[in-house]
Amino acid sequence: MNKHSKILIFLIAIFIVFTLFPAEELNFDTICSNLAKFKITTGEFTQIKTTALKKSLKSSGTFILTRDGVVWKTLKPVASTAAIFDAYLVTTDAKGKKTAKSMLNNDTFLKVNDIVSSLFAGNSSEINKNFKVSFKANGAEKWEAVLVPKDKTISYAVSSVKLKGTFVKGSVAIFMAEIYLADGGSMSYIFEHQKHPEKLTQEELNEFKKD
Amino acid sequence: MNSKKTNGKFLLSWLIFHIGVIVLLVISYSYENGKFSLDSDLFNMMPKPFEEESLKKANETLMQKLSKVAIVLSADKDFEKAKAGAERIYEKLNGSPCFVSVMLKTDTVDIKEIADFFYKYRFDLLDDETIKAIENGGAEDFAQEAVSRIYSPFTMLPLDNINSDPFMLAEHNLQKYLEVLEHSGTALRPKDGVLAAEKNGLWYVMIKTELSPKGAALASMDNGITEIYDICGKIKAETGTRCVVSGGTFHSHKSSNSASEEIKIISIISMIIVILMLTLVFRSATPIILSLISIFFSLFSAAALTFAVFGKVHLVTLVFGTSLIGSSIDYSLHYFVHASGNTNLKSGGEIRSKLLPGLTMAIISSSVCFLALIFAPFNLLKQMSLFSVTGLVSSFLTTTAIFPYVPLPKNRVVRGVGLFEKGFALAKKINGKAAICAMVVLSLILLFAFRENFGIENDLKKLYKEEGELLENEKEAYSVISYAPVSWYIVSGSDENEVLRKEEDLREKLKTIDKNSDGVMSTSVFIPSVEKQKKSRAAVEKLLPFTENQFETLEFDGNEAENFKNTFREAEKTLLSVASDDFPASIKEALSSYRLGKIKDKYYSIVIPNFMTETKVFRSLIEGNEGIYFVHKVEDINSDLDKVTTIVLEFFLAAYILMFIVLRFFYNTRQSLKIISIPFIVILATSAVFAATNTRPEFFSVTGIILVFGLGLDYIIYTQENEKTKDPVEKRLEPFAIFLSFFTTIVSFGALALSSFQPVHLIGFSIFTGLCAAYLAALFYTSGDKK
Repeated sequence: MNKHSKILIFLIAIFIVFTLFPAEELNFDTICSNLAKFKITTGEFTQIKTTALKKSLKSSGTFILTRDGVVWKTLKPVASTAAIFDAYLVTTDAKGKKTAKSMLNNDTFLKVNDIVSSLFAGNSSEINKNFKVSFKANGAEKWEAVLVPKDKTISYAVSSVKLKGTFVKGSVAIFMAEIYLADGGSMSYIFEHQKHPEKLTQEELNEFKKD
Repeated sequence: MNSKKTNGKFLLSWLIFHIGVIVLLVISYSYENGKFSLDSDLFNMMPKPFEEESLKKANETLMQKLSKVAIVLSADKDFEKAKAGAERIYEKLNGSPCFVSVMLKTDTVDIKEIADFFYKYRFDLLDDETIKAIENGGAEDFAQEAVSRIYSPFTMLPLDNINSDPFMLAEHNLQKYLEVLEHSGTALRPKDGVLAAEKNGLWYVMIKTELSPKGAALASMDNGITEIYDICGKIKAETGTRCVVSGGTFHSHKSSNSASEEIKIISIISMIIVILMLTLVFRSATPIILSLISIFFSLFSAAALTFAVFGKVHLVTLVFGTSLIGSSIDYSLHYFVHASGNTNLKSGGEIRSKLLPGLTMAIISSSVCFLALIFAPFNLLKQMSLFSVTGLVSSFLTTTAIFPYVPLPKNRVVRGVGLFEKGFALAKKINGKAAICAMVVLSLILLFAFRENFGIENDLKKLYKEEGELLENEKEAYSVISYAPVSWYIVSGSDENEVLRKEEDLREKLKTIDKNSDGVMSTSVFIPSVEKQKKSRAAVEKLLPFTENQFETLEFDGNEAENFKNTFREAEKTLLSVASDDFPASIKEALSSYRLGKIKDKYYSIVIPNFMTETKVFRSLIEGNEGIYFVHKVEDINSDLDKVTTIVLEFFLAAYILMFIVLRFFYNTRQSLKIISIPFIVILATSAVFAATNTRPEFFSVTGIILVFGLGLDYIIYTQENEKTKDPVEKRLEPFAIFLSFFTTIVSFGALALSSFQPVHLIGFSIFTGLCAAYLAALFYTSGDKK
């Protein structure tokens, strides 16, 4: 077999590979299905709350996202923790005092919680049920999505949610979320140093306790 | 001539009576501006629990509000379909004159309005727990918690006012308010703009309505309930989405409609039987037509005078009126039996003269019994009393004044006398005294054997039995809504603030027995008293030293701290008050459920515990507290019915003694005792039958027995009068006339006993039993007698 034939066979093989195994198309479903692979996501956040009068309030801390709940640990300017699991909202103040409140009767809260969980779990059917989704790929590795709530109970408070993320080598991450409030204010989040451990540490597990 | 003169006098009496009734009716109608009405509200026929006028009115206002609420749950496996069904119901009912309000949407709750309210009064609405915590050195903790809340992603209210509310007082108060609301009211929650709940795989969406007077008009096919049923039927047929209904109005509608249908059927059947009987006996249309005319005048004058005096007459009074048919016809029957059969009497005037002593005694005895009820502290009894006496007087006058003008029949024969004598021949041979003794002994034996069933017991639940689809609906609705208060407190005060203070004290006491912290709903949940608001401000005052630090943490520059303190001091000039009416629509809506407002010279509100415990425990909390009353709807009505039943019996005892005195003027002691023994035998026999059938005597059956005294005495009185008669023809006719009277009365009352409407059934059953006992006793008193 001469050199030309080898190159031709190689090109044909590449062509076959790419035809039979095309590169994954970047769309919202792709993002969701890849997000769904992660059972645990930990990282750091920076939150900027902007009031309708444009006063900004900045805080930062760490977060843990699991299929069973969320822990939001603010470290600056004032330490506090908010954890949601088992339909409870557990808050811990700077002195370590925990208050657990059942949210079973608070459908709005439970709804919001479900939506947040489905967002980070990549549950696209749930997301599409609750939001009108506009997705845009910014090149091959970046994307953004705008979610407008369909449920009136949510839309009274939140007018839209903008998500920005990456899609690199089949791995998805949301690095920014902006929540635009119905009153004209907003909350924006920057997520950094995201990890997906197989299991939580004992310290992290303790955050999911009511007392 | 004398006869003509006498006829003329009687006629004049008849005219004066009936024209007088019409004149009174017209005057009353003009005075009331045409506001006569028929009350078909089941609960309005019950005695009112309070004596104090304004408190009575407050309780009535509340009961009227509660009794007009009708809830419809649109149920479907799919939420969107359930919601669509609810929206269709809402569109149909909203704007209908049958409804004062129809509520479906929760998005009518203006979030901004709520936020503005809690912001405006942020210094005044701290709860007791928070005030206590701050007062006990917790001010710094509160301030820090506010900062945490500000930076938390879970803030409810916007942060636009952070410079004037750095301690997030508005947010804190709103959260506490929502916590209270969670435990109150229904178990449904906002979902997509409506109130909904999911249970057992079904979604339920709630429409809450309040009926207007037109909508609540019962025994009517053109009211709010029929509108609800109509639209629900259509939705179910078209989409499969069904409706689950809940509310006393549905039960009132069902029972009043069936009661109304039953009354029609009962009246028609009674009339048919009576007409048939009269046709068979007299073979002539004249007695029937004249008897019907007598009944007409009797019912008309009874209704007219009752409306003229009371303005608003209860449906049960008119139900009772159907029994007047049997009573009225007694006088007609006696007249026509003699008119057709007593050839010794040659004219109507002679017949009247013959019958007058007996008829007069009959009407006096009946009227004494009925009039005893007019002094009862219970409107329904007064109405029934006036209705009956008026009807009987009209019937008496028609018999004595009008009938004598009617020419006697040419062929004067009364059929059935011979048959009657044959039929009762056996009874005639019985030793009357022995038979009476046997009746008494048998009654006593039965009473002893069933003594556990004996005793007055009023139980409202037994007067109306929920059953069928309505019962299933109520169970299903309750499992979804989980809210159906049956008891509450009424709080009164000389001004609104006093009412709020009393409420707050009561709520503190209720906390001590509220094991699951279910809470209490009242006006003071939304509007604290002035004293409490001042305590709230005193607590906020303790936060002021932390103001500078707070603003520093929140990265504010400038004079924010000083501005905040100045704002706080300015706000000291205005406190939240009920009179200001400065509340969001949702709070106004909630207040309308608890605040009764000013009634006469006092202010009233209600406090509803969201938990159940023994009534005596609830009552014990308010011992010695003036101006607070505990109401357990069913228990109170039962207890008051017990009291009224006892009062009725006491009044009757007085009437019994009075009757004996009156009888002594007309009869000797032996005869008077014979007559007066009849009511005793009636009570004994009726009580025995009730005990044996496990029917507890209660208010309606006792009222029935009272009526029997009047009617039952007639038989023995006619019997006594007949004993004075020497003519053999007359002597034969009178027992037959008594039998006819008994028969026609039994038919009309016996038919009532078949009613499914419990109050009517009980009256009918007791009258039926009592009349049978009275007739048998009268019969036995003359049987076995030597002629």
